[in-house]
Amino acid sequence: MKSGLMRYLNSFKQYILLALLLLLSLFLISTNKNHAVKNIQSILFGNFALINYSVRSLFSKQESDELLDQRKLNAELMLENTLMKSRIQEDNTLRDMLDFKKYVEYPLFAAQVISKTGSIFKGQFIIDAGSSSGIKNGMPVLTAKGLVGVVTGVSDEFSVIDHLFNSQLNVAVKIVETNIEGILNWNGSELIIRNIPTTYDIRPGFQIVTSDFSTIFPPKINVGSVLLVKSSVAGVLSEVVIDPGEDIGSVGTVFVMLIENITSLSDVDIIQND
Amino acid sequence: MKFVYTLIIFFVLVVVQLTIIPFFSISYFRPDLISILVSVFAIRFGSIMGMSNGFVLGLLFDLISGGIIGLSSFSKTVNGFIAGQFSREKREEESVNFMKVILIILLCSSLDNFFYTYLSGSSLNVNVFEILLLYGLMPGLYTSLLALPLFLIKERI
Repeated sequence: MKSGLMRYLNSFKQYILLALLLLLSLFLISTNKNHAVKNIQSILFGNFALINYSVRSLFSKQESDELLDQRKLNAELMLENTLMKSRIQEDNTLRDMLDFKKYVEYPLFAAQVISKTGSIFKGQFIIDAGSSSGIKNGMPVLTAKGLVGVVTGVSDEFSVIDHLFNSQLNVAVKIVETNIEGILNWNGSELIIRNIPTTYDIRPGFQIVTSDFSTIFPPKINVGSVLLVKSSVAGVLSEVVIDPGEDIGSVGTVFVMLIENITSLSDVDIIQND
Repeated sequence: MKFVYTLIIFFVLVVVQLTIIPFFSISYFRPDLISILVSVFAIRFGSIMGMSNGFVLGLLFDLISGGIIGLSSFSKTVNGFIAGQFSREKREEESVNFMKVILIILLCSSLDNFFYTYLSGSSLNVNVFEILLLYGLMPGLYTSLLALPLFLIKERI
């Protein structure tokens, strides 16, 4: 009886092992938010990224300090410019002008993208700067053209960035010309703001910036512009497709905004969809 | 000993995968060197060894690439299982023709990419057929194309 059962199980052992390993993998996917798991990952990823960095530096030319300074200046000017444009829109509200330089004063830390990982739904970068440079989880990442992503993993010398083409990243944004607020999300093929009433007059080219209500990103960072507006079947709500300011796929140098009092990643902007 | 060799090759391939392969990527289509390693190992040593190897290497890849832990281990386990169905113990001939190996790599890599992409976007309303075709078969073709130079090293596996 026992040997019969063993023989029976033996004939199915590869299927049993397959089921066990797949279940274990699914269990591991569900433990991704666990701090202990994150810590183990950041240690391993940090050490291995050092090897990646050394190999990559053999194949790619380092940018000169002068060029890096120029890029940094461009990024700072972009932030100032977006803020100025928004201020013109809000002029008649006469807001407190002391707020004017609120986020321009956040220092920007330059970093190089050393690796691009993830899938079409979960785009990620690895950059060559980590906690030793003052980088923490939740800090915004941008270029001279606009917002690129957010820091989601940090080791001593390297960080993981979830960029805009990542379905887990939800950014609170505002359409500057109309003051309409919405949540920007990547659906695997387009960056869209959902459920905007069709009664609003939104046209291609309108500028998109981070919202004043954003808990992670400082307000008025350029995100991109409206590419097109799609009406839903019912014709009541529309989806606004966004053209990101930066070509996310070919980003080389990024700037991390070193914000002191950053909000936890579990807050409104980033919703883990696992 | 075969696991030690595989692990050494794996670490070399991961460095290449994360640093050099992105230069060869066309949009989101990029060849997957780890997938080739898992498939070839499973063809040589069978599905049980192939699955175990795929799971461990996938998990290691997730840990050291900063990705979502469990995604690669799932897809590489499937890869190892399918490639293992064409292993020595399941076929009559002693070795398998290289072109057959390329076709097996195409099949396994396509499914590997499909499961990886599908699971990473499982919460979205995605078109399964589109993922299978665009994010499964296309990178699978690219991966099997990259496996062709293996022919210069070894004619039969």
